[in-house]
Amino acid sequence: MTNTDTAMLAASIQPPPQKKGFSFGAFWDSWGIASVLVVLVIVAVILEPDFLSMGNIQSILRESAYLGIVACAMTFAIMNGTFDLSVGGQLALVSVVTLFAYGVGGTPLALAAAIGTGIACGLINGALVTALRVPPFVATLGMLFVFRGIAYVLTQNGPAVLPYSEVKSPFAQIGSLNVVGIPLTFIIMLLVFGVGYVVLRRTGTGRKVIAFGSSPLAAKFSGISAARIRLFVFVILGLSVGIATLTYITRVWTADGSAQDGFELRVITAAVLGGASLQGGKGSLVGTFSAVLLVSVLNDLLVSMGVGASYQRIILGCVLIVALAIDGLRTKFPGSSALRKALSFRNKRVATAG
Amino acid sequence: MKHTKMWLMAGAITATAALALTGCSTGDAPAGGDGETKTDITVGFSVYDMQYEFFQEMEAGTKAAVEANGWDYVLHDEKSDENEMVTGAQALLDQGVDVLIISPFKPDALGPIIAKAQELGVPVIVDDIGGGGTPYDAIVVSDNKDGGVQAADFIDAQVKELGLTSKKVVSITCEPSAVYAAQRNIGFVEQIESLGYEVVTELSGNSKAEEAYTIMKDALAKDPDVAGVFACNDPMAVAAANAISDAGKNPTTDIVTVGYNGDGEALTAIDGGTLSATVAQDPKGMGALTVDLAKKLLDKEDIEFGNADEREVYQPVTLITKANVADFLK
Amino acid sequence: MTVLAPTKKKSSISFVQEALRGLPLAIPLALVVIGLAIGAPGFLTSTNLENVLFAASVLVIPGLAMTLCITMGEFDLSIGSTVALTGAVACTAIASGMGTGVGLVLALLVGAIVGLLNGLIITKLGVTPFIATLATLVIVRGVAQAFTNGRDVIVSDPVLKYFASGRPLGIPFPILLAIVALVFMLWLTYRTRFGRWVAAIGSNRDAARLSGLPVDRIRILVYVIIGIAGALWGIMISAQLQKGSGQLGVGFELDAITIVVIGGTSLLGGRASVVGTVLGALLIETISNGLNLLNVPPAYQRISIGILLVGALAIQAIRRKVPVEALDDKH
Repeated sequence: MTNTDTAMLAASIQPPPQKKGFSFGAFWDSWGIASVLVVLVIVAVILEPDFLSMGNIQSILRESAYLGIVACAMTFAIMNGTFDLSVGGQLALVSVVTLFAYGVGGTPLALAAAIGTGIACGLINGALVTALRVPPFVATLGMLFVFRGIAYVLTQNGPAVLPYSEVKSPFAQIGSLNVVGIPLTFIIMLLVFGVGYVVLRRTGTGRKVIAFGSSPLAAKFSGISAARIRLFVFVILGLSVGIATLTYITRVWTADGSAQDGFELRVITAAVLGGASLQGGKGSLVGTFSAVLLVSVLNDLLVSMGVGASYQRIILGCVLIVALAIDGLRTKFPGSSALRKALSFRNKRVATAG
Repeated sequence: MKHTKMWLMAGAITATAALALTGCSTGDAPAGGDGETKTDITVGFSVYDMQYEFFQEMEAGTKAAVEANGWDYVLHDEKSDENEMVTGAQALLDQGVDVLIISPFKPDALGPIIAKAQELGVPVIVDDIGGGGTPYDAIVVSDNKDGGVQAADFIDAQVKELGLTSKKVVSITCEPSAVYAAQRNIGFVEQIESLGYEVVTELSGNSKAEEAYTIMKDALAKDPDVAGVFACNDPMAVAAANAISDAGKNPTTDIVTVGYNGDGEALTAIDGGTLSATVAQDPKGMGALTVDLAKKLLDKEDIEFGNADEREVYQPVTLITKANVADFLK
Repeated sequence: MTVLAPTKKKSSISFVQEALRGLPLAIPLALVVIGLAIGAPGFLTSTNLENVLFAASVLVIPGLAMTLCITMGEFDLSIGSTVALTGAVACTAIASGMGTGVGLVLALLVGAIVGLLNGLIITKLGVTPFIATLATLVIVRGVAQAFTNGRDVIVSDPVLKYFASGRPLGIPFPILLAIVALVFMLWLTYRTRFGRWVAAIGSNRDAARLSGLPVDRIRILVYVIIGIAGALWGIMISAQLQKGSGQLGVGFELDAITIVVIGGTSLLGGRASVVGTVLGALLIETISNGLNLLNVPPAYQRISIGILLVGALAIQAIRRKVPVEALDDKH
């Protein structure tokens, strides 16, 4: 089958166009989490008088960046029907290498090291999954251990650090600089999401990412094309970790093998909370963006109210379940989801399109 | 319509949860005071992780001392997360605390915090763990290396007293990133080797009790005639002692077991004869000491440093054994 | 409710077939054992080998339960938090004088409840298992910490200690428990309808539902089994440490899932390899033990497990010539 045939086949399996007029399903898909975020911010302003202070908002935006950047790439992955459990290990390793590189060659080398190491990690994962056919869950779980392990070995004699003498350096400034009052790290996150949106919704590659995720059948018929797209997805993940690292270690100034334990689960949580379905084919960058901010705002609110760490965990877990229950309940009732309808007629459509 | 119901449900749940939170609040007094008098001082205390008894004690000591001075107090829990540490400590500074006391989860992440503090002219005092080579104003540390030396001396004395013939010991270290706690085992190994012993196993238990248990089991299998074991913290020491007793030996008379910290479980074990000794820190005292130093800094007085180059102020550690444990049990 | 009448050939899982799937793991295991026997002093002593079996036994009990779940095409990330909560419950009950028996029963009950919770969230609320158990991982951890109020619950209980040091018939108690669990799981998986049903759900959930199986009830039951296995794990660890703690068990779920996956049970569901899980537990614990004996720092232990995981499966995948569509994991 040629590439055009593949694309046509994939396109024929798109869900039927939404009927005109207001559809709650469509609204919730794109703006559901954003709406909850707005409600939460209103609640926060009421409960925490200092919430809207410049410093507090800047703090929330600044620290959301590294989670958000990787969550953006993870949304791509989940829409393609896969995911990457190794991003926490990648973050640790890239952070360590970047700090070492800074010590050797200053900012230019550090920037190159961050991007380069991130892409390298992505290529390894991608190769394992596409060329060696290791299931993504296992491949990335194993690589999580390997990446962290390498980071540990590299920092055997002590963590990688940005020395205090560099406090005024441009590199350190990346983490603390505010442009017109907006933290630079957040601006980077906005740029990443912007580029991501364009690639996902306006390019052929982006459409293929979604198409192959929503229809494993189309993926099967396209063989190499699907594999290439999946490799692309993993490289994007690695690249995102590289960029995220720059926003992360310029704020924290240190890294070793134990950095950000559990990061991968938080990233996947953000993407799924934002509307990405682990079945593939469905996801929302707006949703992911809102979900990342939602988690940060909620965390800030709980901390300022003095809620103990254990209760914070309970509340965050419940929020996740509630959000997904709403989504899950919708898919259980066939009438409210067009995508589910399309999938259940999948085989018939293939027969007629062929 | 079904959809409207769900929309309302989502909004209602969020609102209800948030309202319920107001009932759950266990918060401390907000920062900044009323701004009525200039002498109203607010102390911000950022702590490693309130899950651990050691830091709960430190927090209690700090808070009591702050309130005894008539000052305001704000607490921040880093929850063993370096990202939270930086964000939260910077938030305390943003809120306008007059002094920052911090017990850092990752000392190397102090850089950005000190940078901001210096920008705002706020003095910073570090409580234990480490200073990361940053320009803090003062650091209060337990004398970790000396603690390790005391442990080594104790094991040597006990071995002679019990008439044990073996010269083999085991050293269980904390997680590799705790570079300052590592001083304990470094001091221990130096001293014990100078006393003629051989460290047959030195492994990291990652500061976790369950890992120390397995390490001790394996160490015993390799060298059944081990004479002593020193662990970098009490949870690991008690776990190692359990492993020893599960293997059929006595963790005070067959093998000398020493921990570090002075946690409740260690004191109980020493009293009950299932642990030989521990090197106790005094987190409460350390907390009070940091507040004392804070006052000096705010009053622009001089501080007497134990080590002026590193601006270290030492809190002595005490070896607790069966002989004196009764004094320490509350 | 009708059930497809099972014929011996078609829908029963063949134990022999499944054992063959897991057996290749015996090769790396043998290699590691030989390598350690030569290179690691003290490996071949009876005490040390018993230690390895002991550690593998503790791990294999939850591993067997997880095998069942993965055969069903799902998995449970929350088991580590269950370990903490159930251990804390048992020790708190013992410490407040309610007796060891009560403590153990309560722990098992709490484990079952966590499993029930997982099952209900997944079946009735329609949340995918990956995310649902991720959420309960966080929630149960919070509950465990709140329950213990940040303080470890110290106990000194000879009955509890039996789970760590008891030696009925001269064999350490956990090893006996593991053998019992293994026999039970072999029977359940290969000789009962329940086992076939679980595999059927793993192969094709919709087809299973259409053929009349009480799919939701079966799924809930599997999560309850995992919850109980998690409670046993919590009891055993608490017995070793003689305390309950809200900090216990962090990351345990990855250990459990790892041994199942390297053991050959397919993540796609539908096929179990109980033998593989057992070999996987032995392999992981042997490597860990060997590295301890050789004084190798923990960093290398992590790398070795990761490489093992990836390598073992790459080999299997290449041999199977898995087609592209299997790149997707159904969760």
